Amino acid sequence: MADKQIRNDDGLSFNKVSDVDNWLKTVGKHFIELSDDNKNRTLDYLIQNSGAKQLYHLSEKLNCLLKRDFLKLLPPEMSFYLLKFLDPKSLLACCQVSRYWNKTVNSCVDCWKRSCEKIGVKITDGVTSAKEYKKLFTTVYARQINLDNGTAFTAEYLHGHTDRVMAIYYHNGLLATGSDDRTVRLWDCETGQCLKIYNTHTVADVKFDSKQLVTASFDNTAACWDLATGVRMRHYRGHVGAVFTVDFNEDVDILVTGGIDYTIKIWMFSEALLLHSLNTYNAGWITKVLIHRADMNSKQFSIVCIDFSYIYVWNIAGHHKVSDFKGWPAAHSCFVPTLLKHGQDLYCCVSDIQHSIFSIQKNSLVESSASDVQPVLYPKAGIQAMLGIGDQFRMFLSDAPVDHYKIDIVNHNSKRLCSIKLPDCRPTKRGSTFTLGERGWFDGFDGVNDKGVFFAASLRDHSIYMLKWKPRCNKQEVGSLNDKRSSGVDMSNTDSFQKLSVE
Amino acid sequence: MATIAQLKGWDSEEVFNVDGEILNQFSSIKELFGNADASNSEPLSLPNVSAATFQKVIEWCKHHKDDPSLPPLKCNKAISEQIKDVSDWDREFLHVDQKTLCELILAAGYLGIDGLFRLTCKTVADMISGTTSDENNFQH
Repeated sequence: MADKQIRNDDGLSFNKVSDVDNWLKTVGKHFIELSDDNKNRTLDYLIQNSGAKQLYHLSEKLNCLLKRDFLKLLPPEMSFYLLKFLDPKSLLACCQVSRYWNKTVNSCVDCWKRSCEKIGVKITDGVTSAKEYKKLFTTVYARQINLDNGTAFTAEYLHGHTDRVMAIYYHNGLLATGSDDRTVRLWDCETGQCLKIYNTHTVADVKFDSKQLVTASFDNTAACWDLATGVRMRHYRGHVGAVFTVDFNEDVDILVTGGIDYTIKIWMFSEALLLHSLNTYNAGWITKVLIHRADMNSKQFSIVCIDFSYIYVWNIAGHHKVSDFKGWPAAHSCFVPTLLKHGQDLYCCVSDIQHSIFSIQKNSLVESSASDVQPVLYPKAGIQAMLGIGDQFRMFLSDAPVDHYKIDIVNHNSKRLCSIKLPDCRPTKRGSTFTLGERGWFDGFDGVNDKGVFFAASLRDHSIYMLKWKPRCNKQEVGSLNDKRSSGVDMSNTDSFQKLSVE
Repeated sequence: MATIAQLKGWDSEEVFNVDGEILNQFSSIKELFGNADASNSEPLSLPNVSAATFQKVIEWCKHHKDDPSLPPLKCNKAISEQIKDVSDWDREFLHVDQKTLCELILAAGYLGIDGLFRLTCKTVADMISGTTSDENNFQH
């Protein structure tokens, strides 16, 4: 009983300890007989007459009497169930309560698995134990905190072009940029060095693989260049207007171009022979064309292209149009319609009222559930283009105040992870002046796929702006943060998981 | 409703007469009784539940006897989303000290009362979340 802990030695002179005990016995007997109200009054009276020492003693005792260590008292399976109600941040805090809590929380596989799922971690088959899940979680969580506070990326500027850069393409650690100065430059993204300069024509679109580089040009032609030597191997002549977009596929030996003359031309890639010329009835500039493998198992390829208001799908074998979709209102023409690959589907994000996303499955166009992806975050005027889409994340280019653009990454719940303001970039209505780098993380972070190039864009001053994932901070840095924490610096949640990742 | 089970806590001889509606909510022990009228047999002592706690449990079960059954525990949906709102009655019911709360969790867990188990676990989780590790220093 609380009253017994408060020993009032004043007033009475006791000679022996046993006298105190006897006195207490008498008082206790009376106390027990009191009503609840009077008991409380007695305690109040005692508290009133207590000094700091007694009150401290009381507060210590009360903790023991009233508080319960739930995790210790409950059997493990009940503790695990209880822990499922906690959000990741609280779980991390729980790990620091005591050795026992740490052990319990760290052995709850479900908790960490769920935490991982919550923040968009791509879980590979190898991960099974709570320890692995937790490690994955802390790694990815650290990265997302970086994203949130704007320290996830480093920016680099690549200088060299002397005229506007209208084409940019990323592939496998290399960046190709095509400019009106009649060159294509190939950059090593890791060092930022220009590896090679190709003397070409004016470049409206560029693509390359390990052997060759193809360009579409404002001079009404497309060309294929040897990547190693820079020699022009083939020249595709036939369009009667600027060629805006090009795509090629060596497996089916086809190159496709589209441009200002409203036609799409299919060429034999190896011989530069014109196979087909396809007309669109809308009389709009063809801004993007893609050779798309509709089904990984079959050799079914289709050609998908867009102008400002239609999406067209052709079957590559029969060269007949299988599907088209009348697009979006021209009123929103500031929006750049983009074609994005996501797994076997192809998404086209258009700026109609709903921000619909279409997918192309088995050669025909399917409007996917627009409500799924409707970014609550964005008023309809905001988005300029959708840059990427994956299982977990989406990325948008949108207006920022005062003539600037920003990139927004949102998760599948439309929660914004980060917003990056871009320098003075050169937007086009074709979307050819910006490109994504590595795309694996769109399907979820797996702890290693957030590296290399994140995004690149051409700027108005003819330079290239490149954002790269900052390498993860190493153990030593984490350790020093940890020291700071334990020396009395206010513990934020950031520090708390960094401490944990060391343990 | 007729009494079909007689139960008592481990710490007292007080016998609780439990009717079918309430017994049905004790998913882990209801099988023991079947449908037979058990009012004449020896009262069953619950090894992990005190009389005072059992009194509270029965109070909760009486109030919630008409609740729709809950989805199974191992559900893919995030568990915190499964309980949206805690009713005022429940909030008042769980306005107890930690000792009682802890015993309620144990009792609900052993007796297999899903609804009460979830509710009490969530209550404790809410107590834990939003506090720092120091504040969380629950003591034995």
